[in-house]
Amino acid sequence: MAIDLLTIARTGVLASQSQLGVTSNNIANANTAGYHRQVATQTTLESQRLGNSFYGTGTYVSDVKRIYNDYAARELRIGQTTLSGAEASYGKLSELDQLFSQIGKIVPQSLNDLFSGLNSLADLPADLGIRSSTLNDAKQLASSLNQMQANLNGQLSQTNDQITGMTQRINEISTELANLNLELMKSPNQDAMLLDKQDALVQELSQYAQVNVIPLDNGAKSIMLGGSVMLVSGEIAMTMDTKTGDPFPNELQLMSSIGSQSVPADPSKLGGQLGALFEYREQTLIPAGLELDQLALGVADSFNKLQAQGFDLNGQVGVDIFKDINDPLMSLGRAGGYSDNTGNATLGVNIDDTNLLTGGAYELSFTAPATYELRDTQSGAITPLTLNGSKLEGGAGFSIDIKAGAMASGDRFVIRPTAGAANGIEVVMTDPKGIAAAAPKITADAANSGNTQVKLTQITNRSAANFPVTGSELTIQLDTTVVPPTYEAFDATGASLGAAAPYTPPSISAFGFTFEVESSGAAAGDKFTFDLSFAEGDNTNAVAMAKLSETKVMNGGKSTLADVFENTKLDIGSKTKAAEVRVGSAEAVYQQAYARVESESGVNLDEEAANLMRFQQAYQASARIMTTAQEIFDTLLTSVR
Amino acid sequence: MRLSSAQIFNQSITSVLQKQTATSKILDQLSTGKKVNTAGDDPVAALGIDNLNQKNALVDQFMRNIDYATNRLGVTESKLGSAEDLAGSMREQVMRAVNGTLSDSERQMIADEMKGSLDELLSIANSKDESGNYLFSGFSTDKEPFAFDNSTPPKIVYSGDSGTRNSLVQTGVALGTNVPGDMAFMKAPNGLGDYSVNYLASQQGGFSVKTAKIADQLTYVADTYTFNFSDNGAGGVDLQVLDSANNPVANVANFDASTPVSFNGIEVRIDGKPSAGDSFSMEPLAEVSIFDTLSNAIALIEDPNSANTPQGRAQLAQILNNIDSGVNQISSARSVAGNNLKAVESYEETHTEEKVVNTSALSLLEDLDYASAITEFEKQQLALNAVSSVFSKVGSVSLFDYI
Repeated sequence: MAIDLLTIARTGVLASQSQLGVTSNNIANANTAGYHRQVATQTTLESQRLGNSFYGTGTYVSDVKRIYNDYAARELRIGQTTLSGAEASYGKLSELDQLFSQIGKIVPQSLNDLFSGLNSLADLPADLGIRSSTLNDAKQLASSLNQMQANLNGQLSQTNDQITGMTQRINEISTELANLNLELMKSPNQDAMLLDKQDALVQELSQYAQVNVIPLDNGAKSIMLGGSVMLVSGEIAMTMDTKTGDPFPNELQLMSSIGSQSVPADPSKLGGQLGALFEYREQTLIPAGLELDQLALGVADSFNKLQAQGFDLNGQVGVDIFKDINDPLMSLGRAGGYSDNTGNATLGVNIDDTNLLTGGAYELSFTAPATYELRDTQSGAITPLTLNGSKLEGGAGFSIDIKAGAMASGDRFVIRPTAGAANGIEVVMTDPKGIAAAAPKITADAANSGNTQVKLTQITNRSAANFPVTGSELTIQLDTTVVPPTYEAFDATGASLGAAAPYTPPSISAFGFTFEVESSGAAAGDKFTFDLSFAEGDNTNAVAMAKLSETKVMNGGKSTLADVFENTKLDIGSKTKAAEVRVGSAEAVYQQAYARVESESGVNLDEEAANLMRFQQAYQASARIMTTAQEIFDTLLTSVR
Repeated sequence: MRLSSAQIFNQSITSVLQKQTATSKILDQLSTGKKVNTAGDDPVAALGIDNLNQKNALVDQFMRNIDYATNRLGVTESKLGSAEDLAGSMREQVMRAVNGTLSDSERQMIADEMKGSLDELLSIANSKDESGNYLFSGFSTDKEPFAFDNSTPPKIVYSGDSGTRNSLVQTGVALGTNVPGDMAFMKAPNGLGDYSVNYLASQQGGFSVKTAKIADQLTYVADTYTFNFSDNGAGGVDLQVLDSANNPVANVANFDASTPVSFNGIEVRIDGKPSAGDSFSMEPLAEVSIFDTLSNAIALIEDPNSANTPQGRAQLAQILNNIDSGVNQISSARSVAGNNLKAVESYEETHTEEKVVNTSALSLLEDLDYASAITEFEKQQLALNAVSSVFSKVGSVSLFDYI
């Protein structure tokens, strides 16, 4: 058989057409997101033997290949996850930074205003106008703390909304990927368009979390998130979900469901935007809120304590300015039990010493028969607690009250001693006369054992016989070694006013006033001298309250009240700065990975333009073969006639 | 390395965006005038800025307290100054009144003058501040501190207390901003020591008690003692001291004024020469009030019978002694107020200096250096322009233009 020119020409023309088609497709899709350029490979057809030689028979397009580098794509996904995570972190932290630095200025400002008011009060303790304005300053401080907490709550709900939105999008992607897998597994040949679509979806998914791709047959891919959550398995799509938090309902949990079963997912392993948001919530937002609460507790407690040590304008022992820090409503919100606890205990947390509070969170776990352990969530340190009646003691500045029910072995609780304080702080005093500017003088004898403390609770009758005033002070000697304990009173000259009389602990009410005795150990001869004179120009307690601005009453004696807020602000500031730096470096890594992918799979229009010319010429040349074949045939025909 | 068209565009656009972000950041700084707007801009500087701001707030509060204190102490000091002058002039009046050549009516005129001055002194001691609080009542600022009772001669009653109001003017320094009235007007030490003497009208001899002090606390017995001088038959006088139960506690034969009389831990020195039959009593009184002293002086001057008698002269000596002590007491109270004023002034200077130092440190950390910021801004603008023009040149070259 002779060499078939027409057939060869035809193969050439068809091959050139295919090439032109592929090139045009590349040009048209130059700006399509996620498009990998395609290259058609031409192969020669089988040669045919004529005599002793082999003659080629033309060409055909054997494959339209999609230029795709798996390793580059993986690098790009990793780069994308890191970048999205860093950007999400930086965005949220920067918002919080603005909140604390700009809007949050009102908290230290109103604290300073309150101290300014107290200093004016120290100058004119009897002035009702100044008292009124100082009480207003206190209200202002309470409301600025409320406001700040409300802002933080807003941040929390915003973060929750973002997380919910992301899980929804992840579910949509998961469904689409499963469908794509189904399509791909149907046909043995790989459709480049489907593969590109799959790649784009996986790339978008890697923004939200770290993606692990498991290749299956025919280009189908199974997807795992964070190396722990299965999202797409062949053509089956799993979903992710959010559930109300356990034990605190407004801290959403991430769940992953397979069919009808739902298991919690660990967001710390996910990375990407989801991981960043959870980390922001757990490591920055909630601790910042707890530290703000710590400030609120410090404010309320310090001022209330000083109030109880002074006399108000009516000569009566001072009452609380701020709501009591162990108010039953506030004390319940500080502990939360996990829903899988088998016991039915309800816990409350009582603050014993605001100075020792750390503003952190703890986890309490109980193992039968009687091991109670408190683990610090941040440092991991474990403190054993001792059960005293229904109280668990040993926590730093707080004790846990088992209010009802009992714990079962294996029960766990989250303890946040400061929670809810910034929300709950309010001024409960309404009468400006109630600010205790004056102070009684109660001195403990130098020879006291130190086991007994007294606290004045009420003035009942200033005109009672032997009521102690300056010049006729009363000395009371307590004997707590006997049961019931007794007290004996001596006047200013040292003469006894009667034999030792028993009292029902803890209070003694005599001579027109009532006081409480706190005994941490029996002592026989502890003496206290009382001078309860009152004058409206006395500013001793007001000065003590004004001194609070400088006194280090928080964090174990290391911070003043304003320092607590400033520390939180600076902490957030340095985290923000670190996040900014991370964004910069993540951006650089991403750009490199992107450059690599583009360099291999990106369309270069100039290259395609050159290809167009090339294949057009090839087409023309092949077509010319046909003309030549035609002319040969004509020559043959005319020569034979 | 092969570049795709998308990459070329991406590169240029990224540069443009970056330059724009940098420009916007500088614009932000220029508009607020601060390098550090939030803690995240520069955490290390933000720490310093916060601390300096806190210190400044503290210093401001101290300076406000100093203003209040200066106000109060200034008024107190000037009132005490007027009281001191007034008491001093009343002493002059007393000296005038005991001149033996004056007639009864002239003495009465001086007594009336003195009564007027005493009322003035009383009103100074009862002065109020701008809010209606009494200056010299200690803590009982709503109660009038000084009033005379109805006895003859009138005795002063102090209804205030000894409280001193403090003010925080410096870390750890609480300064008193008032002087309690008892310290200024009531607690002058007795001119004679620890006992006050009652001279009798029957006194014949010209003598007065110079000092009557507690010499030995261990043997001291507080009591009202009566001194009786009797004729010893040898031209001199014997002294017998009786306590309130009429028990003799000391007997001195041939009393000589140069030797002090000691008994029950008390030492008494007498000036002058007692006559036989003279007697006087003394009772414990460690502190005298200037008001009581002046009131007694007026009573003495008004009584025509005592003016020039030995009793009167002895009484006068005691009174003059006590007036001096009282004026000294007012003066020392005034100097307490004056010293506090000086201390407060020097604290104010320290605070002003500290504020200047803090503010300049704050400015270093926080304030924008406009010159360098604007230079940076221009640099960014230049870079932005360069990148933009490169973008248009590079982006406009394409093979499709030539085929």
